Amino acid sequence: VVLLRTVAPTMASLAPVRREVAETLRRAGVSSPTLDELLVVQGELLANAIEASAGDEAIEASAGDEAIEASATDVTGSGAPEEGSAAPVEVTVLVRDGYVEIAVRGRASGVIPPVSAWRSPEASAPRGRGLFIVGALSDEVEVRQDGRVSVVVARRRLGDGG
Amino acid sequence: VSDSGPRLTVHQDGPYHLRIVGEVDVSTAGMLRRRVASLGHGTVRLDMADVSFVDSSGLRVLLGAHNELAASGGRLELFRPSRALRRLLELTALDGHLHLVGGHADGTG
Repeated sequence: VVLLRTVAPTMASLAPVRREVAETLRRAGVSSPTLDELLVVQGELLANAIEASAGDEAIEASAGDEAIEASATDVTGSGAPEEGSAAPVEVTVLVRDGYVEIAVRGRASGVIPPVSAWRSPEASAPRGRGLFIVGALSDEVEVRQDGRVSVVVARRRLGDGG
Repeated sequence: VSDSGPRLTVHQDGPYHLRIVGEVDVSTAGMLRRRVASLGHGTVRLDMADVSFVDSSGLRVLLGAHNELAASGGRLELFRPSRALRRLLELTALDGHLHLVGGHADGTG
């Protein structure tokens, strides 16, 4: 089973994509709680990619911990993203041979720390839990950065209960 | 892609009691944060039994509210956390830091 979606880099994309991913996983026989955990993995990766790909305008709008209201008006359909402008984000879900693979591709924003460094922050730390959660809920995570593009792939084996 | 209905609803069940229903992600976390902050200081209870989805942005809001209330002599109580919320709280060890009350929202775990 495969789902491939290209979405505008706005946080409004999160919920509709989540519904589609849930439906895809359900059709493939994945059930709760594994399904819920995979939705969290997918959501964290997509939110990170949207934040990196939303463009300067949206990043400024997100200052002050407000929900990000990204403008999708200048999204281009293809080609390398321009510096500072919004770029589309691609989500792929693959279910086969007893595992689920979720890949999110977006604009590279700085350097993503190595997977081995995705530790749990101190209990009182306000930020920095997203990647830790992805790592904890996945069997394998792969980060590929190629110039301006970054792809994060999370794999999860499906057990008897999944 | 259709998207039916509001994804996060906050019901005010009392002066310091909110019932959170739906999905908390980056697009709805700001609303949750504002509603909790609008209650002012005191012992705030959030009924989390019907939170069907929550991510790290939701945890950030809960932790922020917890810290702010604690600093002013108040307290944040997470009432009947849903399975989805409980899973993330356990994973991040925040279940030992935040105040969980009222047991589980369901019979599992």
